Amino acid sequence: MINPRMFKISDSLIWIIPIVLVLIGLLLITSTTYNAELKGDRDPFSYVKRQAVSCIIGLAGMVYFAFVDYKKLRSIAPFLYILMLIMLVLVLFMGRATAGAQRWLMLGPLSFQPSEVAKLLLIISLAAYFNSRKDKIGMFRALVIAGIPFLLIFKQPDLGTGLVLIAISLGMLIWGKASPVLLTMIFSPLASIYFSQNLYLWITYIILLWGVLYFSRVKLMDMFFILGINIGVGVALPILWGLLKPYQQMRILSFLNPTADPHGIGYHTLQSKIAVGAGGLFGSGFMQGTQTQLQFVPIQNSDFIFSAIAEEFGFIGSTTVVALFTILLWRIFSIAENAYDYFGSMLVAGIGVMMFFHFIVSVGMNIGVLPVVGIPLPFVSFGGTSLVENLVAIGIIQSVAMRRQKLIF
Amino acid sequence: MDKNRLIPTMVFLIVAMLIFILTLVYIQIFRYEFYQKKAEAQQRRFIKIATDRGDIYSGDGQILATSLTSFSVYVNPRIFKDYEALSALMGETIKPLISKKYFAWIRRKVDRGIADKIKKAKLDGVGIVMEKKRVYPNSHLASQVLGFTGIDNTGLAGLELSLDNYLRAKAGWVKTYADPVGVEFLSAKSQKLDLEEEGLNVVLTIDHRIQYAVERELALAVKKFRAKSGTAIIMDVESGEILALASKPDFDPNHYGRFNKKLWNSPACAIFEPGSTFKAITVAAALDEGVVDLDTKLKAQETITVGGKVIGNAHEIKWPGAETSLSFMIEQSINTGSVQVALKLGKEKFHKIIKRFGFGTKTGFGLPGESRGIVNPPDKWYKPDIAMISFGQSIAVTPIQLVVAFSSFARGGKIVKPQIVKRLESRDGSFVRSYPPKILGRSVSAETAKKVMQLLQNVVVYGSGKPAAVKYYKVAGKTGTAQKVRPGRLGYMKDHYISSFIGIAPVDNPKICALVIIDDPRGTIWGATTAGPVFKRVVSETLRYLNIKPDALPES
Repeated sequence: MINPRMFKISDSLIWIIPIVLVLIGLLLITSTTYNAELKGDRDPFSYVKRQAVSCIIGLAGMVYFAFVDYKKLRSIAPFLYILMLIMLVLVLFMGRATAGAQRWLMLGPLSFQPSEVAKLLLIISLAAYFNSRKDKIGMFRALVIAGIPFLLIFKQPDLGTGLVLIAISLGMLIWGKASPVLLTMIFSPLASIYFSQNLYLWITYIILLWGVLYFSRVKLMDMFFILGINIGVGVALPILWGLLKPYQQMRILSFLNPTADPHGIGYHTLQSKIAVGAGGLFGSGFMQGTQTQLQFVPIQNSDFIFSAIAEEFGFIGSTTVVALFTILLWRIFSIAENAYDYFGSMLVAGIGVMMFFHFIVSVGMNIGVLPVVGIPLPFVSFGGTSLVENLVAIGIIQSVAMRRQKLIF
Repeated sequence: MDKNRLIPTMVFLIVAMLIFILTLVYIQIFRYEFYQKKAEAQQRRFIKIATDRGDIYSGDGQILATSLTSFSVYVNPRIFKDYEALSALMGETIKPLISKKYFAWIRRKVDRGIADKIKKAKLDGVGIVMEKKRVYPNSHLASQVLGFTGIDNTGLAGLELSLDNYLRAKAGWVKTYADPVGVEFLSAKSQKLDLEEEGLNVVLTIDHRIQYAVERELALAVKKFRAKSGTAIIMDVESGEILALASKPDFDPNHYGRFNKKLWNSPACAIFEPGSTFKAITVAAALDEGVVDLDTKLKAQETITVGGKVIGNAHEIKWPGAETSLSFMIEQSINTGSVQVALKLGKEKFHKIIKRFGFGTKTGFGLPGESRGIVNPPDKWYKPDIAMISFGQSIAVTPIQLVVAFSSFARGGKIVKPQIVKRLESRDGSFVRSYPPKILGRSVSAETAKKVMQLLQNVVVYGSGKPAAVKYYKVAGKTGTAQKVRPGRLGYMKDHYISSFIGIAPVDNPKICALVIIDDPRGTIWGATTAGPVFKRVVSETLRYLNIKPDALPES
């Protein structure tokens, strides 16, 4: 199964960048947890050690999945999908609650977050489904496949991961079938949400949308579907808003007006921006960032780890991380583009979309250009499940890369 | 599959990357100083490092005032939850606080034991701060000398006020960086801005045993004579050191707020009309100017009229019209006699010598709020004033001035500066400032002083001062019974007197000068019978305590 020649055609940047990011992560996890643990009379390196153990498990997983033929995943996809649903249901009943949400599942001595694992399992499932349908991708069925885990995760509640699932599904749909009708299906509801603030504006928008669809001679089914989604979203949004937890509503509001009240809404965003800004060009140095060391920014070893990088390693450090992610994502989408088969392409694209979304949202919220959504920065943030999952995902990408032979259409 | 997906994806990726990098350029490079300042402003804390205020000791080493450390417990109500654990540690039920604040006191000034237990438990959101509390372990003892400090540990009365600059500790300042709650600090980045300095310790001249004896006797006398108050001063005539200074009633500086404000300050610094004790000054002035001598004869008169005012005596004259000696006049405290002496002297000379004794000038011995007294210049005197002043009315002096003036008789006419502070010293002994005895001037010649001492000794041996005589020691002294000035200084009150006795002992080798004043006694009003016995007891006890060689045989 292991073939040296195959390793040669694997993508070296996709090997190197994740490992560099993990090392940066270990450094920053040390910086953000050392002093707090020391003050609490605990092992100051406990977080780093746990992350290092996860890293070793993850690297083993990565190597294993790189050399296993990814096509095998296609055949077990239905099984993986059902496994995912079982885990997500179990966590609702047996999960360990932390910070108001039930996200952890115990498996002997190990504990992990099923919602993290669900992301990768959903990618495999959707890739397998799209592969089975090829050009006749059904919007509705895809929505059902993604919708069930989304609702289960939303129930925990874990809005961040829920949004990742939506992003993955839409991203894979676009990658699999980038038609104007599909793009309209995906993005017109966003416009509907925006216009729903004003009833007359919204009605005007719906009529205009109908007009455009009518004169574009879109298939009747598609037209009804698009209009249905738009109307549904416009009506459902205020109802859904009411279903959001207060802290989730706060986060969205805080993004819209971050400086309103420094200790209430927008406080985290503001503190994160201060940390980033105070870093300057070269940063204040390892373990020298006062915003970071004094814990002005919350969850600094995970969701807000980018602010710690920016403060302690400055503009040099922050742009390096941004550049590393950009290069990694470029390599991933190139692999997706040049995959041997449709399934491999969808699989890698799905992983790419997942990492892309994590990267955009995590960095974006740290520098105040996106609302605060609690999701980690891949490879860097503390969190065992996430790290193992991302490294395994890299393994799957390499598996596709090593088996790419030019497909000739 | 078509191959046109990578380019749009890359466009999207690069646009996102550019937005991020441009934002980072803006925040981290263009707005660097803005955010740097914002970070500094919210993290920076200036912490005051308080140190101890100086202690006050008596001359014999007793602690009279000190600062104790007490501990206060506070919580951060936003973080703190475990009220059950805290209740168990403190041994009392602590009700949960519902507050959005970051700080709330649980209990001020608790025992060290409880504070240590809470520290060890390391509960999240609980803190202990040290606070200083001024303590006066001897309660009332020397309270009017010591005074007290306010809630912020600055002196408000007594020596605590007048020596505040020396006693007060200088707080140090540390600049540090704190977390949003202000509980955790970055010690590595702390920076000392200003070093703290401890306050200086003060050693008083007051001897706590003598002070105690004086206070005890004063309290008994005030009670016995149902007097308004009693005041006493004992001064070392050699050094000017005040060994005791007290009044009764006084107050407890630990709970000063519970007492009448009038009790906070010592009457030893306030004015009174001295009465007959002042006759010693009149006679000394006349002797020094040579207008009288020890063999000068005075007329025994029932009354004498000066400037239209008829002046009488307190006691009936036994042989009206007879000639009496100067000594007899002072022994029996005859007003009309002292008026004759003063008239021989004339007001210019009389005033000059009164000033030489230190009357009308602050002694600056150390307590705050000391009065200068009231000594008008001679051109402002009313016609009868020269007569009135000759027996200590129409003139206002402070008790401390009177003690200083009398002490000069014991010192051959030298005026010694009274002082209540022996030395200031830093806690580690690296700094000491002593106050050596200081001669301020001369009241009368040594010869005159000797004559006055002889006259004053006669007062105690033969005259009005007999009740003040001390066994085994020769005493020179003078009684005083002054009419009290009506409030507002319009004449005198009937049946209200200030009775006093002032004396020096032992006569052959003078050691101390003591003044006892009983304000408004009931039953008996005479200085000899009210203040005299108090003088006798405290001086006897003091001389024996100081191990002074006796100079008199007991009367057989």
